[in-house]
Amino acid sequence: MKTKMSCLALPVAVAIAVTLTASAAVAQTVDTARIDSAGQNDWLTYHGSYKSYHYSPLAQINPSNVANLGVAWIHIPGRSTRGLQSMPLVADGVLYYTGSYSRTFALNGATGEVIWSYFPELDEALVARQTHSPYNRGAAIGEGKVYVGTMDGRLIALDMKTGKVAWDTKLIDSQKLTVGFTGAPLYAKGTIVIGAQGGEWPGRGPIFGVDAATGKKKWEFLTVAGTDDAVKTWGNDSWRTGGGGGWMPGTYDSETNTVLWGTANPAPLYDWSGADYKTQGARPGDNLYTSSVIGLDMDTGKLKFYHQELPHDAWDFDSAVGEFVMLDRDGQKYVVHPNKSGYIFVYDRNLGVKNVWRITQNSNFVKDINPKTGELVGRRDFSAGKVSEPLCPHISGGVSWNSGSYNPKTGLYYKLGQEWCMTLEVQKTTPIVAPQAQLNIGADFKIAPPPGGEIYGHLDARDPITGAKKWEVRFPEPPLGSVLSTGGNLVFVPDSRGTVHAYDADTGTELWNHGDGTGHQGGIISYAVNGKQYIAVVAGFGGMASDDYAPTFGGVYKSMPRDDGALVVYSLK
Amino acid sequence: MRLSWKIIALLPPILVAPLMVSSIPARAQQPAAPAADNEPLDVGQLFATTCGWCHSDGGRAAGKGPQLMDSQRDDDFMHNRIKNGKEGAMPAFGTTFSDAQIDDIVKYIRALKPHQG
Repeated sequence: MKTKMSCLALPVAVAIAVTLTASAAVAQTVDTARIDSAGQNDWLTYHGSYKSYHYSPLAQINPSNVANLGVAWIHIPGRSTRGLQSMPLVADGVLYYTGSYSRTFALNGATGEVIWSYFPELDEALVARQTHSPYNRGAAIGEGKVYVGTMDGRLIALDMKTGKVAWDTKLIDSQKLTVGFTGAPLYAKGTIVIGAQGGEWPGRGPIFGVDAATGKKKWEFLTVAGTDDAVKTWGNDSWRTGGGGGWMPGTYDSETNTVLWGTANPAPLYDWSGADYKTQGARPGDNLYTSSVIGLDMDTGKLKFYHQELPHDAWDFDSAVGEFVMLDRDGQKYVVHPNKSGYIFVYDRNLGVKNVWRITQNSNFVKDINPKTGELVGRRDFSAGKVSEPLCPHISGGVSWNSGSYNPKTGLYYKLGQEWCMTLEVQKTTPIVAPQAQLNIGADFKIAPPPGGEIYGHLDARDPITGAKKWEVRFPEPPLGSVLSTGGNLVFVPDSRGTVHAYDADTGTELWNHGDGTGHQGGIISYAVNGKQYIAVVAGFGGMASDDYAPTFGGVYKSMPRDDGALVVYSLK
Repeated sequence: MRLSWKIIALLPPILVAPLMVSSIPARAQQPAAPAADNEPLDVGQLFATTCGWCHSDGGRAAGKGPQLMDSQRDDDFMHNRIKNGKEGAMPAFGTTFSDAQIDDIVKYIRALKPHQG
């Protein structure tokens, strides 16, 4: 790793500063305490605050006036290859967001005027070799800087006021590993945490801690065999190319100084081991710390505790979903984390299992998960050959990597579920023993409807601890974007067809909708400037899940662009 | 089949270079031997490890990418698309596979048949 200072980085970057007044609001320092307290008007980190509620307490927009919600302004980032997938951030009236190729913008939150923009110069030949690319899922802010990762393995810090490069640190040898960073970083306590892509890409899936002031790497945790004990869970030295990674931002528990992060799946995705997965197949053993939730010491990156949600994940239902919903109930502190399979894990703050519930109807990769212990019951471990009964859910998951929303006023967790399956033929492949410029899937497969039914998606309003369902709204195709709930008793869902819906948070009654002109698969937030509330949503379709929509559903998806996008901001007319 | 200079140049650093820094004691390296010059590319494996995510059912059905079986595209088009990719849709494999290997991939695609039974 090497750190380039701004004087070196500037010649290879394009930073355009526009001489506009940054905001009517008075800019204040964004630090750990401010993110922890989640101010009324801002959206300071990917998940809103370290509580990860994706909730805004703003109540100006509410059921009595949401019918008057209209477009306030739009921003077009350009070159939105595979759509827009990021989560905007807002501090002191300035909106920061990223697009494909890590294009980064600072906009006046009230008007959309560009304050500055930054387009990093990337290794385009490398990006052209990548499959999960070139989208970017967001930035972090703190200590006067905006932090964004790149597909060619760098983490870049930009001055919040000017967009000028403060530092540019190469963390991954992406030429060798092919992968880089698509997920948003997390800022806390003077450190930037960012996780690499991995999963089906042969590597060891590092998560990094980087000094926010200097860009110097502080620590690195390998999600594949990151401890001596974990090495023993990978037979035949398969840890060398185990996959893993942590490509979505987790959160920070300030009470214990712990980073909570979800890790991705092992490679190959599908193993031919059969039931003897402890000793047979491509990667014999439990494959720690893939498909796990981990707690790392913020200062050192040392592993404090973990729970492997899917030991020896043989289905690509990983734990990389970044939500760690921090709840206090009846004197107990909980953390709620959705697994890609559609099972929702409820933990204590040390990641001890307290409950497990399921949001999907169609699920057969296991018979169940023990709600007291988290143990998988009746798991399906495939041998090479055609799998007789379709696997549910589909590889795109029972839930998306996008986030749900917890509303402390209603006590309900609003989360999207996805009902789809896949036919599968597992292939016994030659072991891949070193990183290379190819994936490692291990099967041929095809999307399929659930047995006896059709593919669909649903927004559920549930108790986050017990999973008890209060209401549900169904969609003909699974929505892939994030969910927002507000103190105005509203729940916003940007769907795949391109419509943003607002529902009554208590009943699920639809109160408003508006078309954004293309599908959604990214973030939605609310913020306020000069006493006025705004809803900001990114529109723009394309990516590993949404690329299946045109051949599967036809209709509007046939003509929906996968290289376009816009940030659309709403306010009351 | 001979590997092109590109393959010869690329494979050794990819396959032999040490992995990322780790706290784990170094173990005996077990690098994959570079493919012999005359070793044919196992395209079936390639679909199972890489191509099949987008070209569903081993290239027999439309998925994220188009159905390849019975494609009306000519060989030159397929060769160039595999080699150079398409921004946002198809990775470029021109630095991973030689022209001869890409020709093998095209031949495999041409021979794709529906599954029996």
